Amino acid sequence: MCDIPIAVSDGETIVRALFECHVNKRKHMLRDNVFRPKPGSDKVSVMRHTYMKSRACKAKAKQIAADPTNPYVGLAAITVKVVRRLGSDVVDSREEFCGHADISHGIAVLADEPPDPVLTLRIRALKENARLLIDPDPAVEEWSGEQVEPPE
Amino acid sequence: MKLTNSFFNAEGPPSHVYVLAPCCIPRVSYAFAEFTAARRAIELAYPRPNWDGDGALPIREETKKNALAILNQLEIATCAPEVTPNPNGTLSFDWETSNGFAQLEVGRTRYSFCVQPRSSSPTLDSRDVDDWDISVGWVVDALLFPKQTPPVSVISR
Repeated sequence: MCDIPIAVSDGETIVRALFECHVNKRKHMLRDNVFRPKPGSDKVSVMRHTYMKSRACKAKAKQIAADPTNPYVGLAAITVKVVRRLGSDVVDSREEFCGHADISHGIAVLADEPPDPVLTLRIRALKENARLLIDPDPAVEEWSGEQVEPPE
Repeated sequence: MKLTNSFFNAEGPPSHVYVLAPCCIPRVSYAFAEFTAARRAIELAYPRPNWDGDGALPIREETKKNALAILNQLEIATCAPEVTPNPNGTLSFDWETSNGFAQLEVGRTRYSFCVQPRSSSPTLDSRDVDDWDISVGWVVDALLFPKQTPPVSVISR
């Protein structure tokens, strides 16, 4: 049972789990790969933070960390309104887990080859509009980083 | 005249460094260490799948080989880029300065290039890796790293 509405509204904030590969060496800037689709797809996995809140998003991010050389480092937050303004969409995908959504770019990326540079520019614009939220204490369960959304 | 790494490793100062017109020599001012770090980043880029926890492809040897060949040529044209692995198995070279940004993405058979100066519209390009040309590096250097002074100096004793 998932009580989150299926429709994703413009006012929601979504977050992307960040691993070391998504931030620069000094961990103060997002890299351009943060909103890159999976190979053979136009979709990027995100979480509906407005409903899940920071603690659950952090727990899920740590859970999906798959490569010990690429550890969890934090979250990247962006509003749905901005994603849509830049030409992509956000759709619920609760079949993954309750709270999961996908940014859909509408242009699939091929395996092992660069995408059309037009998509590269859009993905970069998304990055420019996202907030980098480094987790000051990845080992603990609580989110103790910067506030992701203003309090209700 | 071609300046090699032995030029930098020689003990003591060189007895002569000639002034040559900028068009005649490879640039020597780009940081050797930064290119070494970029090479290492390519060589070590994720060889196993799902390195991002979201289904990423491994970075294949062919892609790494292409990226290393291009990086070697860039070393005589512009500053070292930051190397970024992408989940679809490609490698990106990124440059960003107060003058704009550029990205060169290298795949198994193709590359794409975009440069966006702050003051003008972007330039986009996409070709076979075999058609890669050093002029990409010159464009990056001219637009993102404009020089205040000529890129040569005189040292003598």
